Formats: sequence, C-alpha cells, structure tokens
Amino acid sequence: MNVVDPDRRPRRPRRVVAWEWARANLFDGPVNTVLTLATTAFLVWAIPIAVRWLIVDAVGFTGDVAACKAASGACWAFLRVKGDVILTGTYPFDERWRAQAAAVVTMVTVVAALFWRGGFVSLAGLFLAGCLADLALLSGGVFGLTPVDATRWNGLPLVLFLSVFTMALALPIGVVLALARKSRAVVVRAVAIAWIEAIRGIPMVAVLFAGVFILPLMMPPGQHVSSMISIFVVLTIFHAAYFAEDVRSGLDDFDRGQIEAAYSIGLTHWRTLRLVVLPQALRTALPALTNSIIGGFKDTSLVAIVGLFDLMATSRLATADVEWQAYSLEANIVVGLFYLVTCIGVSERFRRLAEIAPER
Amino acid sequence: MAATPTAVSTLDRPPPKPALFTRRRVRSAAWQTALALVVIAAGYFAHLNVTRNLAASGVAIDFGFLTREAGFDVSEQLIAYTPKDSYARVLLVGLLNTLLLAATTLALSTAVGLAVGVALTSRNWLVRVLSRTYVEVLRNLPKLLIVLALYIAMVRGLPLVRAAWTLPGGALLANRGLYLPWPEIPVGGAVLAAISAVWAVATIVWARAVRRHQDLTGVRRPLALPSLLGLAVALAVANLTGAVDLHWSMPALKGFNIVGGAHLTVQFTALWVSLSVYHASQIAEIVRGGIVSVDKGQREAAAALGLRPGRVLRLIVLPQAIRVIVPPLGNQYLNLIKNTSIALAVGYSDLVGVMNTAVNQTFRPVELMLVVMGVFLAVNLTTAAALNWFAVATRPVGRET
Repeated sequence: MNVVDPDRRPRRPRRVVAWEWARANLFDGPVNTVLTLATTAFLVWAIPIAVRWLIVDAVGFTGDVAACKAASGACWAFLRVKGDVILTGTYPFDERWRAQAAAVVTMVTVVAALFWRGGFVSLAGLFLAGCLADLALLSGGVFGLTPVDATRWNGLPLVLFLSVFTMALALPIGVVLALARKSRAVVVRAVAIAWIEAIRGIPMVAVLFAGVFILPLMMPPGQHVSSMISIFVVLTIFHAAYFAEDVRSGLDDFDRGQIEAAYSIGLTHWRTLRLVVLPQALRTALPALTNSIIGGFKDTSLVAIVGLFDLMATSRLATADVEWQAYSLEANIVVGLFYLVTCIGVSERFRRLAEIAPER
Repeated sequence: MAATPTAVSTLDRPPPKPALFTRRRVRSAAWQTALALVVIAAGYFAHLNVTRNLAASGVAIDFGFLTREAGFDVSEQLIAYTPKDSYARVLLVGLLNTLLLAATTLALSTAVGLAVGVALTSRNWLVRVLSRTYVEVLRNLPKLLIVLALYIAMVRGLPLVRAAWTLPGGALLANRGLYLPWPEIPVGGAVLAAISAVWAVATIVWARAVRRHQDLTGVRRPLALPSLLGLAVALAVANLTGAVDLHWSMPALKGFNIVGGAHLTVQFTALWVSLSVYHASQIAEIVRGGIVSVDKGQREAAAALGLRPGRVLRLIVLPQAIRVIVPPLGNQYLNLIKNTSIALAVGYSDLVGVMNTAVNQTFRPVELMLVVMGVFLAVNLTTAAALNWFAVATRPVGRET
C-alpha cells in the first residue's frame, strides 16, 4: 500500500482547497445546493438591513434626541441618557454608586466562586460575605450610609442579588432534599417529595405570586414582611426543588458498590456521603445543574411580573419618558446582550469544570 | 474448589432476626417523629396566622365567592363570557386561554424544533452555523425579554388595520393582530365528519395491507399518495355535488375592520411566536442529541442498502432517536405549559392573569392560589401521564432499556 508521508505531500494551491471544502460542505448534492442558495439569499437580504439599522443609519452614543428622531436607524444616544435608569432604576440618584458597587460585588462573588479552589465552608463564607456586603450597600443604615427602601433596589443589582444568593442558598438545600428523597425514613421522604413535586408542578410566576400574596399572611399578625424578603424566600424554595431533581439524577446513577466499599473500610455514614457519594454524584449532575442555574438566572427576570424592577422593568421605565418612547428595542438589545454574555460565559465555565473534574 | 464443611454450615444457618428496637431504628423513629411534629406545627401556625390575618381584614377562607359576579372583562375568550358572569366562569375562560396557548405553542415549537434540530446535524456548513447561532442566542435569553421585545415591536411597528400587511397565503398582519384564512363549513358538517372517519379507517386498512405486502414480498407499495389522493377526490366530489360546502374564509378589509378568517390578537400572536421560538431552541438541542446518539454505523448500513438520505433519516435514524428524545422532550413540554403563565406580562388573559385580577378585586389570595395551583398540578400530571404512555408506546420491541 502506498502511504504518503504528510510532510512530503505536495501542497495544493489554496483556491483548490477552498473549492473542495465548499463542494464537500456546501454543494454536496442537489438538496444541499438548494439549501445553501436559500440560506445565502436570506443572509444577503437580512444582513444589510441589520447593518443599516445597527450602524449606518444609527445615531451614535454622543447624539441627541433630535438626531434620533431624524434618523431611521438605532438610537444609541438613548443608552447614554437613560443608561442609569436601565441599570439602577429608581435608586436615589446621588447614591447610585452604591447600587453599582453592589452589582460589581455580586459579579466578583460569582467569578470568584467559579474559580474557587478552597473547600465548601470557605465557599459558603464567600457567598455570605458577598450577600452581606450587597445588603449593606443597597439598604444603607450602616457605616453612615443613608437608608434606602427595598422598593427602590432596581435593575442590575436587584437581578444579580436575587438570582445569585437565592441559588447559592438553594443549592445546599437542594442537595439535602435530594438525599431526603432517597432516604429510607418515610416521613423524611414524604416531606421531600411533597416539596419537590408541588413546586415543580406549578409555574414560577404562580410561585412568585404565592410569595407576594400568601407568605405575608403566614406571618404573625402585625408582622410586616417586605416583598423583597418574600420573593427571596420563595425563589430559594423554588430553586431548591429543581436543584434537588438534578442532584437526584446524579445519585440515581451512583454505583452502590462504592457505598458498601466505603462502609467496609470503616467510613461512617456521614463521611461516606461527604467523601464518596456527593463529590461523584454532583459531578454527574453538573450538566443538569448548569441548565437549572442558567434557567434560574434568566427566570429571575420574572419578578417583574409581581412588581419588582428587573432589567426589563427598568427598560420600560426608561422608555416611559415621552421623548425617548420609541427606543425600547435598543434597551432590549443591550439587556439581551448582557444575558447572552453572562449565560454563555457561566455555562462555558461549568462545562470546563465538568471536563477537568478528575475521572475515576 | 470444595468448600470446607464449617463454611457451609455457617452459610446454611438462617440470618439472625433483626431486633425490633435496635439503637438505629429507635433513633430513626425519633428523628422522623420530630420532623413530622415540626412540619405539622409549621403548617398549623401558618394556617392559624393566615386565618387571624384574614379575620383582621374581615374575611374568612370560603370558596363561595366563586359563584359571585366577576365584573371584569378579559382580553379574549373561547367561550361566551361577559363581566356579569361568575368568578368560576372567568377562571374557566382563563384556563381555556392557557390551554389554547399551550397547545398551539407546543405544536409550533415542536415543528420548528424538529426542523432546527435536524439542521444542527446537517452536512451543509452554512445551515449548521445558522441553526447553531439561532439555538445559542435563543437559549441564552430570558423568555420574558423575547416576549416583551416582540410584543412592543408588534404594537409599535405593525401598520394600522387599513394598511395591513398581506402575508403569503392571504393572511393579514396589522397592529390589531394576525388574521388567518380559516376553513368554513356552512353546509354538510356531518357529511364531512363521515368522510373523514371513512378516510381515516380506509387509510389504516391500506397501511396494514401495505405492511403485510411488504413483509411477504419485500415490495413497498405507495401509502401516502393514494391516501391523500382519495381524500382529495372525496372532498372534490362532495363539494361539487353540493353535499358539503367547504371553503376558506379569507380575511379582508371591510370599512374600519378586518372581517372573515380567524383573528389572533397581538398579545396571543406575540406570546405564541416568542414562546414557540424560545422552546424550539431547547427542543432543537434535544432532537440533535437524539440524532447523534444513533450509531453512525446504522446510517452507513442504511446507505449501503441503498436508502436515500431522507429515508435514512425517517426510517432508520429518527425511530431510534425518538427513544432518547422523548424523556427530555416531555420535560420540555411540561416547562412549556408552565411558561405560558408569563402571558400576564403582555396582558393576555390566561389563568394566572385572571387569578391576579380576581385577587386584587376580592382579596381572596388563598382560595384563588389554591385553585390555580390545583389546576396546574392536574394539567401537569395529566400531561406527564400522557407522555409516559407515549414513551412506553414508542419503546422499540426487543430492546432492554
């Protein structure tokens, strides 16, 4: 057989390679040729429209209302004027730096957690510190900061605060729920199943309404509970149920022989769980958990429906100004880009974590 | 290797009966009792506080208000409804709206998701890149953002009714919504139903005959073509003889409004389309996963047998991929049904939206939330049961999985 040494193979001209690539990938039979032509036609039609609207006919960041009204493209000047409203909503104007700092603190917490090398306890400490720093910054009343009512925590800091810390709290609860669901104790199992299935059976919007309507009624008479706290509590309950199902899928795949092996070398029940079962089960569950975390982050925007001001609601606030009414799409695009970048970034990081986790 | 007699005798001895009160069992029972007590106490205090708080505002938990007049209007309804009707009826209207939105979204998202999922595995580079972009963008955006962006774009960007856009096929699109051509049967509905029934039975009989013939001789006779041809001929004959009057009602501008066809409101259209494209991106990923799970050798074997690419997909790949696709797809359907509740954001009167208005009017959050949660649990359990049945039904014969 005639084997060609790859180093000695004569180099073919680039044009031929490109043509062969195109033949193999674009014009491979009649069906593919038609598909290629159709998609190309679509792109030729769509791309110029998008480019014209986004760039050519758009008013830049430094423009003004008059220029925007005259132009047929996007109005990026809107973001310069209304960027503050979209980011922090009705947070007191002079204290905006606190809301911005709170958002930064949450983001730093998340990034630090994604690259954490320490143990579980220190990780919990990190989240607790981030949460307390956020609360101090947002609510004030400490370190000489002016108190700000929770109804004015809007926009980015709110979305980040609610999603990150409810999910950080829900994850250990979800693990406990998943273990409880597999427990041999009937009562424990029944409580876990009731929690998980009831929550998973109803929509998040209904859960949020329950937080706004029912939870305050459950407090002792005279005890006021702000909707921020109610939402925080029900979001945690909600996420915990979904995380529990993900972790359970990891536990289901777990090889029982390892547990028996752990017992036989003298590990206690608790240590078997902590050192043998959970590290592996959580790794198996990581893709499912990633999906739930990304979904939970995106769905935190639904708090807008029960009257909290997420980024969509602050965008509406920004376009409530008659002058700037027509530019909601610009706001939507920027908010959408934020979600795209963060979601893709976080899921990529989790994918890497699942890959570099040692396989045994 | 022979076992020693002593070993045999130890093995033969029955295991000692576990004691009734081992330390472990007692401890477990104590823990469980404690947990049960905590749960019961928490439930009791929650209930006590709810009743006391409600009593303070002069109400008690009572479902009697459901028969009282609701007094508010809804954005659209499938059954006759006026504000004079009861709360129970307005909740039913909301439920039907939810189910309509769920069913139509389910159909559209499955169709789009299947197409995009196949496109994700296409050999065509351009198609693959485009579908991948679609999936990645849609999957990483909040559904509320997609719904609101489309809704606002439709309200602001669509023309007035008198300048409505005409879409291919005769549908009209304006800022009051989407107007679709719709079949109308003023005469002979019963005859048409009879024709459909006969056609369905005939097709099944023919399909069995085709299968039998193929099993016996290996020759496959045409199935879809004669079936559809038969239906077309039957409908044409019925229409020409005047036994049935079946025609399309086309939407058209008359005066200040569009008449004819089926009218979908802007709210419904925005929700339907945006939820469909959102869920289609997730379904596409599931479909892709199913397709790539089918061993490559299967495809090559099918191609070696001389099957064309379309048939390889339809007869070899998809039936095996279904097994992998159905469980996550079922989960996706359950999510989809729950996600219709964001209808409230654009003012479509779904179950949760109606509940919200009713709570604000009556201050009966406990009763209304219980009704809504019960309904959602029932709908979800029914759907889950149906999906389970489908998963069992599509399980291939002779496979142990």
